[in-house]
Amino acid sequence: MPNTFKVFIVEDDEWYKKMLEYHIKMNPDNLVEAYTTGKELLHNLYKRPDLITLDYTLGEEKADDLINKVKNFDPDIPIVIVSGQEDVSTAVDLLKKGAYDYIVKDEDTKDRIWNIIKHLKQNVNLKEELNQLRKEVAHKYDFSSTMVGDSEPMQKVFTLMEKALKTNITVSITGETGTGKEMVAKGIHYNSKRSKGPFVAVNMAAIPSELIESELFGHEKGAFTGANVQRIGKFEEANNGTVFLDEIGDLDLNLQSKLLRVLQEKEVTKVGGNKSFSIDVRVIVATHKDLTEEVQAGRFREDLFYRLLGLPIKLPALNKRGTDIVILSRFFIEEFEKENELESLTLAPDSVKKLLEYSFPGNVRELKAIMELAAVMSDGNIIEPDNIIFSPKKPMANLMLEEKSLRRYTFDIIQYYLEKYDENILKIAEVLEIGKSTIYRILKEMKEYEEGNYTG
Amino acid sequence: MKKGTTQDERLRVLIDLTKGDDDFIREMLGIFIKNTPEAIANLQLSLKSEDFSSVSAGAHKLKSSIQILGDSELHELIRKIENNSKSGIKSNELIEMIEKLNHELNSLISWMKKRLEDPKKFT
Repeated sequence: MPNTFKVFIVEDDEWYKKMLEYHIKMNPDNLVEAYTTGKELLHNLYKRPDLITLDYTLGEEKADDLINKVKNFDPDIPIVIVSGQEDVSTAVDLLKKGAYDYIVKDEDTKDRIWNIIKHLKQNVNLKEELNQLRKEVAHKYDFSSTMVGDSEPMQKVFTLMEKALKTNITVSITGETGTGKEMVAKGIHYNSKRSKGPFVAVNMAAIPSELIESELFGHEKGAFTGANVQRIGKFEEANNGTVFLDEIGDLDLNLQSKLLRVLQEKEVTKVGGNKSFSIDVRVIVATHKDLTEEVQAGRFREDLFYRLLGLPIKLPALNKRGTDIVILSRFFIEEFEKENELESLTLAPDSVKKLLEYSFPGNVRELKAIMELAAVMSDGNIIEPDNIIFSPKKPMANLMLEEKSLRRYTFDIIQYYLEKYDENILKIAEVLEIGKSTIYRILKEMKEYEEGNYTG
Repeated sequence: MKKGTTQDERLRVLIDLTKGDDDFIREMLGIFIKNTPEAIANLQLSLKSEDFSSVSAGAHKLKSSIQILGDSELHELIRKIENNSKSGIKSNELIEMIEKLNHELNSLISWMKKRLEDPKKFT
């Protein structure tokens, strides 16, 4: 119950305790627990009241001792002293000791206590608002600092993300594996009005097709063999928040129609259930596939495609981001330094050159791994080219990711086989069906190229 | 008790504070009827044993209840007892005031008991 305000009354006069409880409970948002002794109060402090009203003359127990004990437990719990007499010096003394206020038992008590609660509630609301603003600022900071890039394609992405924050429009994110699709989805959610709600991510490619319906929409007990208990689905879990459907292109056709119905009707029916219920969920989808091609090939429903398209955000491959590679490299090194309390590391100029020449088939995710390994491998404060180790097999798998000269492609092919066959030239010559001398000539050209002496 | 006050006027503050919540008023009167005789008896015992701080404390507790009922004359009487007992002297005035308080409170309780038998709502 978010708006409730918990008040502890400590009063040994049954008559007055009842009266005070009545006054405070006139507002149904106020919850009251009444105690007769200070001992009972201290015993229940773990429930963390929002306010304590403390009778000044509580039998043998002294009000100032109780104030000290409460303040030792939690200095932020406000204590109001309720006294049968107006004694200015006592009031001042108790206020100095940490009492929030001092009120006299008379016919005005009700108004006084109500005003105090009103002010305290305003304080609580202000504190909550402040915390929320802090969180939002933190998220905003995350958004701009964890997604680094000065390149034009990334600036376009940031602009689109800003636009996505203002409405509940469905966002479709495309991009190669490792380009940061989930980070964009989180960036949008945590900076949007839905940030207080949950962010629920589901990877369609990671869940067996026979389980995905139950995963997305939940199931009733006994819906199928093994469904021993009722389970809520990801859409229900994401209610009032955002559901992120990653690899949406991998969803099979049968489920595509069910997803379409959920998106159209904004209602979910659990597997094995016959009742539907409303949901309020923002949908962000992502895929590394070209969905238009999937639609043309009949593997993706056209109506769902248009329903999901919403605001399309295309994440560029890292090798299309120019000098972002260097900015990101430095960013990942700094993050790694902070996490591991390392001294400051810098990239040698040749290391920068090496990075810029690489195609990064694994995109930002690969760059991060490479830079973390480089930070570990470096001996001094400088990351040398030898510390930068690329994965040997990936370049071939993504050979066509960037446009290069035929000569550069040749270098990549030779480099790939050198690593694959442990520099066994004879074996490489056999595989490529070329002479050994051709390979040696290419190796010479590669060395010249690396040294900047290659004339082509 | 103030002469000439209408019956329910004796509870004017309580009725106003609770906006005539009949159930709650009846519950409060029940507590008053239950606890007050003991409070008066303790006050008299404390006076007899010349324990003036207990007299003062007992009067202090009663004062809050009476104030919420709304009987200003009775409230003033208790306030005087509380202050007078702080002097630590068993004066005739103090003895008389406590006797008067005993009489007035007993009379009030008797009235309350009768009034509670009447189903008419407090207004």
